[in-house]
Amino acid sequence: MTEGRPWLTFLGKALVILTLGVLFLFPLYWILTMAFKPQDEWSPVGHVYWKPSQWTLDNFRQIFGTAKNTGFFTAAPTDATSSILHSVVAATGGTILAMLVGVFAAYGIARYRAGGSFLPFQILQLRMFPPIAIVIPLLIMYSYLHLVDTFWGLILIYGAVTFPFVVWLMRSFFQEVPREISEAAIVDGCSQWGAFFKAVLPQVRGGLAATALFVFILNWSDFLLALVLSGSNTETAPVFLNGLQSAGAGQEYGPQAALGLILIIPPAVFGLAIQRYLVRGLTFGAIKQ
Amino acid sequence: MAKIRIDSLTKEFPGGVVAVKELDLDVPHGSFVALLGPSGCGKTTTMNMISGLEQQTSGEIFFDDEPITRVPPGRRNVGFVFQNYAIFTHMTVYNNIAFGLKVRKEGRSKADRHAEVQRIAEIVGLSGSLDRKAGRLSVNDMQKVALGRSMIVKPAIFLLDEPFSNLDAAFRAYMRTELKRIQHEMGQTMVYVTHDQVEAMSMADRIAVMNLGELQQYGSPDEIYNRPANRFVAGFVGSTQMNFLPAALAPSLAAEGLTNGVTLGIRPEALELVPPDDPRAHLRATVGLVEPLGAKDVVHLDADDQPVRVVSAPGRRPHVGDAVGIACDPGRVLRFDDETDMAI
Repeated sequence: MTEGRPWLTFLGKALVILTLGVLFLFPLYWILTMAFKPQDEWSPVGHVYWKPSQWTLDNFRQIFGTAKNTGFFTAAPTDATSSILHSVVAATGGTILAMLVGVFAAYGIARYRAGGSFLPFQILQLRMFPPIAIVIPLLIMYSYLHLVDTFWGLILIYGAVTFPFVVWLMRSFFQEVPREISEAAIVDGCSQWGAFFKAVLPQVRGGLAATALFVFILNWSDFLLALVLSGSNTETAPVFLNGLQSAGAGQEYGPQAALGLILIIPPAVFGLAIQRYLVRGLTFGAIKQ
Repeated sequence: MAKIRIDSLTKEFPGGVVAVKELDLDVPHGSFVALLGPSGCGKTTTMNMISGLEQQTSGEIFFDDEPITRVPPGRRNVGFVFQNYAIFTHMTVYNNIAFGLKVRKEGRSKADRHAEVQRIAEIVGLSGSLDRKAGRLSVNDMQKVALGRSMIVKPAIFLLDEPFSNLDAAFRAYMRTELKRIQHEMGQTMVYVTHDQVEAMSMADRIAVMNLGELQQYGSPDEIYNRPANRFVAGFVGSTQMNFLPAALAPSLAAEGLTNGVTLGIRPEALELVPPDDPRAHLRATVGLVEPLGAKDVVHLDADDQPVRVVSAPGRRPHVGDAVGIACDPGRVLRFDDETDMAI
């Protein structure tokens, strides 16, 4: 229809991109501006502040316990530092555990068909019900095992819950590596393990990075499991964020947004750090099938 | 250098597929043997068993009279070049070539290793690209890397599994002569798997033709071409396929009154087109199709509903529909028993 009017096609495309861009970026914009709004601009009745009338760091002072004036109707100063550290420990630990077990399992399944054709599906079954279904039984189990409110408890459950993702993602990456890669290394003198570490694993670096990032984000943003299984010693940041409300101030949108903004940083930094591996690039194109 | 002796080697896969059946093969010191056959004939499985990547079900393989079944692949001192190169794309060309030396940790100094990599790179023609990432090379250069990587450990036996089948035609021809030269220089025993009979004929000292897991014939290229043991070998080898005619169709060619239950095998090169009334004509046929190939024509004919192919010089190209006679040198006719398909 636009044979003779390419500018119309261009306009249409631009419009679609713009709409999608606004749609995706608006929440980020809102959280960013909210984090710098003074309390009476958070959600006043009958008025929307598209941007803070005056940029302030009060919300950040609030959640790092350095706020000065406190009263009944202002948000109470708290300290989120330890909850962020807890999150870092639990999410990183869970990711490492899931990757350690999952990568080997995925290689076994992809290369040696370990467990037959049914095992991969069985592993995925672990994810087929909502976590809320297991959280209460888990709490009871954990209390017997004295794992409630411990980092080991959180790491264990994060590792277990994300393990199926690691297996499924890494399995497909391993399947893209020709069998001959490991065979060539073995004929040249490597052991099975040597071939895996020296020849196969470097071929799936991109997959490893992407999988680790994905699993880390899942663990990092978990709320439900942490809400039930963590306690004062291990409270993670999402649980802490949920607690940012008070009788006097109601929902403390400002501090919540400030903490949310901070919580974006670790996955973003992680993502940027491994960005070059996320581009799978030449790794897989180089072997002609 | 090493000789290989394969003794009633059998490989049965789970599920009952017998990939290799009772294979006996002797590969002498420093010889170049081609395993030739269609896909699925068991040639790659045989290679995998020689290299140790796969364990046989029964039978034994000997390197210099030592049984090697219990020797792990890395200690068999074989070099393996795969059809899809299997080079390590995350490494430089240099590290790819040096890989075998590094993992074998043979007490060499770094300088020694460096010199060796340089020498191998020289041989395969990669001296200029040692610092490049192997993943960025052209397909042709990748296969050179694979060749160099398996050469550097000075394997007693070189195994090549259709190494050139992904290369373009001109480079394949070049690599064929290169490989033959390298084999000559290094004097290594080479086993070469291919389904391309031209490759096998042009490079190998001896050819083992396999089909459905069984050895059909083992002999020099001349023997395979001129005295095929059975109908399969006769039909598989030869760039234009051999003609198979019931003996009754051309009784003048079926010697000693052997016309019943015998099939004649005649290479298209042994036939000649003559005028239909020529006294030399053993057969009469009509021209169905002419394939001009430059140096020669392949003429497809129809003789009493039997397809016949004739390779002729392009000078006297017949027209489609022409009635022609086919003359034949009786000395170049092979005879096969219809019951057993074996040559008589």
